[in-house]
Amino acid sequence: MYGDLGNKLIIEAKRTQQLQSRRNGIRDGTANVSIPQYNDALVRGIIAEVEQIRESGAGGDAAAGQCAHFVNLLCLERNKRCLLSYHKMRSEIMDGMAWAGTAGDVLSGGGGATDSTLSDQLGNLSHSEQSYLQQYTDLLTQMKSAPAFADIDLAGSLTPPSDIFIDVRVLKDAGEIQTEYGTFNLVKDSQFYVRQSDVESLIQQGYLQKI
Amino acid sequence: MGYFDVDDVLADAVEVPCKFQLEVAQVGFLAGQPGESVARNSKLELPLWLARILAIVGAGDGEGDGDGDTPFVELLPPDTFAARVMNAVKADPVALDLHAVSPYFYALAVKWVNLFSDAELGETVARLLLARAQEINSNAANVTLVERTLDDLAGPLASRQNGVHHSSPFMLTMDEWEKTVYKEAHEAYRDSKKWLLQ
Amino acid sequence: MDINIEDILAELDRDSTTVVEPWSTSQQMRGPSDDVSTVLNSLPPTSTAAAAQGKQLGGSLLAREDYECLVAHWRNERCSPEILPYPHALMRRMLHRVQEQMEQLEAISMNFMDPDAMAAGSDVSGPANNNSMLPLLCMEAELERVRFVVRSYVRCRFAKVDRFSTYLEQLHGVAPQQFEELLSPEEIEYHARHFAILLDLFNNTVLKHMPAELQAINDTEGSVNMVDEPDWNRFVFVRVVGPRDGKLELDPQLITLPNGKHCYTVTIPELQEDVECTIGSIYVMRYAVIKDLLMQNKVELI
Repeated sequence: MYGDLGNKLIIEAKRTQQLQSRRNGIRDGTANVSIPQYNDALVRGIIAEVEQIRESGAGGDAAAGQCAHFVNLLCLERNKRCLLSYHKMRSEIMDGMAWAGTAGDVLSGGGGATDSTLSDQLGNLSHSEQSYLQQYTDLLTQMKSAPAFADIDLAGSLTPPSDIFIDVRVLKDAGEIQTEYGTFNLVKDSQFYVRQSDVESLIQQGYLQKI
Repeated sequence: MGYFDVDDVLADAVEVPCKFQLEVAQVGFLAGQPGESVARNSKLELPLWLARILAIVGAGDGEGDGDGDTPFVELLPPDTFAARVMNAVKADPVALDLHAVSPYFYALAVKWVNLFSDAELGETVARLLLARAQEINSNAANVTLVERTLDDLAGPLASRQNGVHHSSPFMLTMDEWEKTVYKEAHEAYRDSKKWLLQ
Repeated sequence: MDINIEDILAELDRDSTTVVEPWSTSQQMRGPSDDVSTVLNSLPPTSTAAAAQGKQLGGSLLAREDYECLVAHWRNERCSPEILPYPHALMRRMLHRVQEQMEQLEAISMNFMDPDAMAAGSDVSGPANNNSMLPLLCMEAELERVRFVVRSYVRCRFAKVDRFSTYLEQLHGVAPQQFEELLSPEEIEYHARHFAILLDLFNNTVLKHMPAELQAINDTEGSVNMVDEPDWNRFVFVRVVGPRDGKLELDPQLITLPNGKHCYTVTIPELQEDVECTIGSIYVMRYAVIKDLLMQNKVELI
């Protein structure tokens, strides 16, 4: 029945959304670094169905033909909506990556980090999505350095600042990190007492955890 | 609501019984018989995204004139709103297993009321919500905060316990929309408690 | 103490860099900060010394009122279902102040490091220096808070721009003047570019496979409307604050009840009911009912 594949895709979208919100709740740094595999097979299946419906092209003046015409049109609309909803949902996850600063790592195939999970993520995106992520990251970089917003750190923390200096623990090895106030050697499970505004981006990317 | 909203798209996939008021050719695949026609007065379960429009648009007897057209299908009340369900709703709203009736009960009810201006259904559902909302609230208010040190040591496992969901039998009976309400309420209680104890 | 806290606080007050510019009367949102002359004139200049102090206080009063205005805008924006008009002048002033303050703090902490290092000949992190660093830390903390409010406000608006992308595009075509007053120039650019790359993604993955009549991203004729409009009927919590300048008598919309309380009357269309909203009270209503009062700053969302 037309629309069944669309339903499958939407159910997958719902599952992804639930997984994502669970990750956001836990706050252990996994929220903004992973996206499930792009379901190329299902998307292609739906597009094939669209082709099929277009070709069957029912018409005619009699009441019978009109109904078939409506049914076909509605099926096409339904497939369009399912596809768009799926892609929009994924684009929102990618937006989250761009804001958190993890997009760069994902796009480079995780070459910089020793963590292998990032290197898999690039494969989970379709080509169009990779292009989108790259363009959106560029847009954000430009926005962040716009003269109006240069001083307020647009991608910074969205929780109110509590302390100027905080204790942080390192979650994963990341070698040497250069910050405004000096160089830190990030070894797993070591702790530092640092200025909160400096390390915000590292916390968002999942390298550090506030204690 | 919203074109891209995943929950709305899912809710539209719910199937409702329809009665065809005209004989229609070439749509046999809807009944699992591709190539065949669907006879007049035959009943089929169609998804809401299809049924909703077919219940509005129709055809005249070959005239092609807008007025006086008979809609292709007539929407019949789905089991979700059958008499026995409504009775159960009125009898004991809290004990009712809403998820079993329909995981998208509220979304469906809103769409149905909009289509048919069924004020009575609207009232019943509103009263249902009121009764169940109190139950949802008392479940959501049940918050325990685990100490931070435990949280760190046990990692992700402890984080899940932080503000643990005590599963009462009621929680399994909630429909999808009630679950989002519960989640938001629970998070609000957890955040206020954290802030109070800061 | 090497640095007198009074000096630092006086420096803060001397807000000589206020960006004051003429604003058009067509601007809908008028906070108290918009009316600079009112603030300065309301201080009684009894003597030259007092006048000088008045000017100094005027500067800091303006800063504080600006901040409170910003917080009000921020709160309203977070609670509102639609994008509220952008306070262009207010934001310009606040961003300017943030930048100034950052430069000032850097200058102060530079001054810190050199004389002490030269005098003590040791590193700067001794306990004696922690004491004198206290005002600096306070200023830093305050700056962080202001930056946070600005950031949260801007991000909230960006998120709304994303959510109502197609609606804004429509507005741009229909009422370009209104569109430009609603958003800041940066938001306009962000919207245009994000919309373009998103459209690219959709075109390449979905829309180019659809028949010609279904290739639009803003189709309102189909079975489901593709343009997501803000939910004007969402319920919001409002608190009635009354006219900003406190002049209750001059407000034509304000009605005095028999019991002496002042209120605004709003009509709820579905119930055909008039509600009297007294000043200081809190109500829960549909956004559309109180939208006009909100635009005039007579109520605020909480």
